[in-house]
Amino acid sequence: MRTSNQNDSNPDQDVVFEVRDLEVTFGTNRGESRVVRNVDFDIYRNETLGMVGESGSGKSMTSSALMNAVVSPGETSGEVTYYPPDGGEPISVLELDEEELRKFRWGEVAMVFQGAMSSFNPVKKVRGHFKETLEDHNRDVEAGLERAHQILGDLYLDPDRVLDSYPYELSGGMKQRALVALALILEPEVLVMDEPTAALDLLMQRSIVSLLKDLKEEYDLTIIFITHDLPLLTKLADRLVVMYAFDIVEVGSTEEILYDAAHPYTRSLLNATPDLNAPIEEMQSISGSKPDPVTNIPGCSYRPRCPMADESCAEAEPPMADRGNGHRTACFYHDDVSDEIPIPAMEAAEEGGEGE
Amino acid sequence: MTPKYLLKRLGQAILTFLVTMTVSFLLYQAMPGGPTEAMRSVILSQSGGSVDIDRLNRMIQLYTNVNPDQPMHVQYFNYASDVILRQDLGTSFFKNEKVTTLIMQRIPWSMFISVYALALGYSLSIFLGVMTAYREKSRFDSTVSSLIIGLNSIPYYIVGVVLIYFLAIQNNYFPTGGRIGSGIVAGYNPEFMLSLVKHAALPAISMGALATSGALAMRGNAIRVLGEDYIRVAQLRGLRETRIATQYLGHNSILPMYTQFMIGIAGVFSSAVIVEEVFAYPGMGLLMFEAVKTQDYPLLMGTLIVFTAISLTAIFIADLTYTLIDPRISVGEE
Repeated sequence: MRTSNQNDSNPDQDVVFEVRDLEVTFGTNRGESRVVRNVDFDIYRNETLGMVGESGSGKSMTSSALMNAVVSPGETSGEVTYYPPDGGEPISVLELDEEELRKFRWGEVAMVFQGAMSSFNPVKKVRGHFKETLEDHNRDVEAGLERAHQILGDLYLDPDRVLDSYPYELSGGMKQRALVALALILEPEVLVMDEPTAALDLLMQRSIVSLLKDLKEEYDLTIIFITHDLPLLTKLADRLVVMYAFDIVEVGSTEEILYDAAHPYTRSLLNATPDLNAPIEEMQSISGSKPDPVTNIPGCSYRPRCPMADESCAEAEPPMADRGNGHRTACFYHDDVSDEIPIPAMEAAEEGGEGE
Repeated sequence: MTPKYLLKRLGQAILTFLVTMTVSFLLYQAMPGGPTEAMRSVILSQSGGSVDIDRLNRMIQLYTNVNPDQPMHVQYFNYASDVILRQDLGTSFFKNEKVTTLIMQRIPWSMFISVYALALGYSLSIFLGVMTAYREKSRFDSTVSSLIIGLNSIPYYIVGVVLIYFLAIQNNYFPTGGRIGSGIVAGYNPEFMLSLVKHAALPAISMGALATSGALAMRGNAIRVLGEDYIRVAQLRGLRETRIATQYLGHNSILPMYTQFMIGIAGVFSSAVIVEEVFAYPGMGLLMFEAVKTQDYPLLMGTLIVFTAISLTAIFIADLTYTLIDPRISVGEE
């Protein structure tokens, strides 16, 4: 087991990505904009890792960094180590040269992101997209296209019809699924999905999510799923990473985060989640506004919005506290959070559950 | 592409052609000292004033396809039917040869330098446009962009004159004019080919300068396309840079310019009039220029009609082939 890292409290897991001290910065005319700050986390093989957080909290940037794909002029620093399956040499992603990086992308890590509608070259048939991807990665085109047929079939698409279409001839949901198929064509280890369902209707969202579960089993995938949609993640993810202000504030299994969230932000986020079962007055938005990537808040970054903040929060940045079972949180008062910020909906659900 | 659409576009092209022909016919007739007057004075001066009027009119009709005695609409009808039905554009006053023969002799030469110029200008436009977009705001970008703006602000014939001065007179790299070196045997031999290319190079470069105006538009398109999601996804997919540059960036940036490029063919072709005069390159343009100078109306009308036909054909082809480069344009579906 490659679990040398000090932060990993779950030594039974096989790590596929190890991210340490990840920083992404952009120079702006207002000063340096730090959009990912000192992020550490691990991704385990064959898990579904959910990343949540408000817009601009650094989720997409963090996941782009896994492929060293932060758009220029962004600067990525830190360590991103990829462990290939079957004990191959670990790859330091940020140190790959251009050609190695090109091969690494899509071959090991593929990404489906928000703009599925416009992810295809409008003047090229879908088949062309599959073919060029196989060609540029020196794969057997014929075998690859056969696999494409199979994957498209698994996604409930008519393979021949889709392959022979131009992107504009497909609906949004079809394009989204074709993009998922394109992501799987080289049999990658890791699939990053950056709000893949944002532009789809609710029904299509749920059906893609259930397809993903099947695909994950069939193709032995590790999935990183980024979204604002917390209820969606709870159905899909094994573990959740909560990001706030360009850093991770809480990590843990979905169960732990849902029922025992120990960071004030996570709890407020859960309270802000719309739920048809909960009365509207129990839904609370988080007061204050989200932090600016240029300014540096000394101490805890959530302090200005946190109801529990005191002087000690301003003095030092809270370290990640271990709560066991791989549940870690960046709050000094993680033991008191559940009392200070109750989640009425969860308590109601728990009571209901106990009553049965 | 439906036959209906094809017919419709063809009909439009023919209509445009007829309108152009009619307007130019009327303008020439209406000009003081129009074709028949010019002809009359030419013949009179040649024969010393001793020609009877009937014979004079017959001669004029023979040359210009127009009988000065007939009313204007009959004249026009005769002229048009000669052009369309018999492909007869009349006979040149001064060269004493069929206008069609003269044009046919010259047209391959003009085609040669125009195609040369277009290939040069457009490939340079596309290449520079894409390169400057890739390196937007770099020194390379600002240098190339300023150069192109400068080049486009200078009329192409001045470019021609400057080229002659520096490359043909000051240095002996290229000939100052003509279309082939003297004493070279025509045929598939290297000397002939080299001489052909050398003579065509300067006219083609100065006409090509006209076609590089596309580079700035191309740059703008390419910058827009660079921001598209499919470019980013292509990079994430680990596609080769050359593929992304050509099939993704290049192809999609050309789309909005395709029609403009096709219309540009007409522009480059008509710039031949001046360029061929500057370089003494005996092509269609020079023929037209000489026709203007000598008031050779049948020849002038003939060259104008041929230029119109070429422009219309280029636009027609552009319309029909648009769907080949952009599948989203479905030709003929309503």
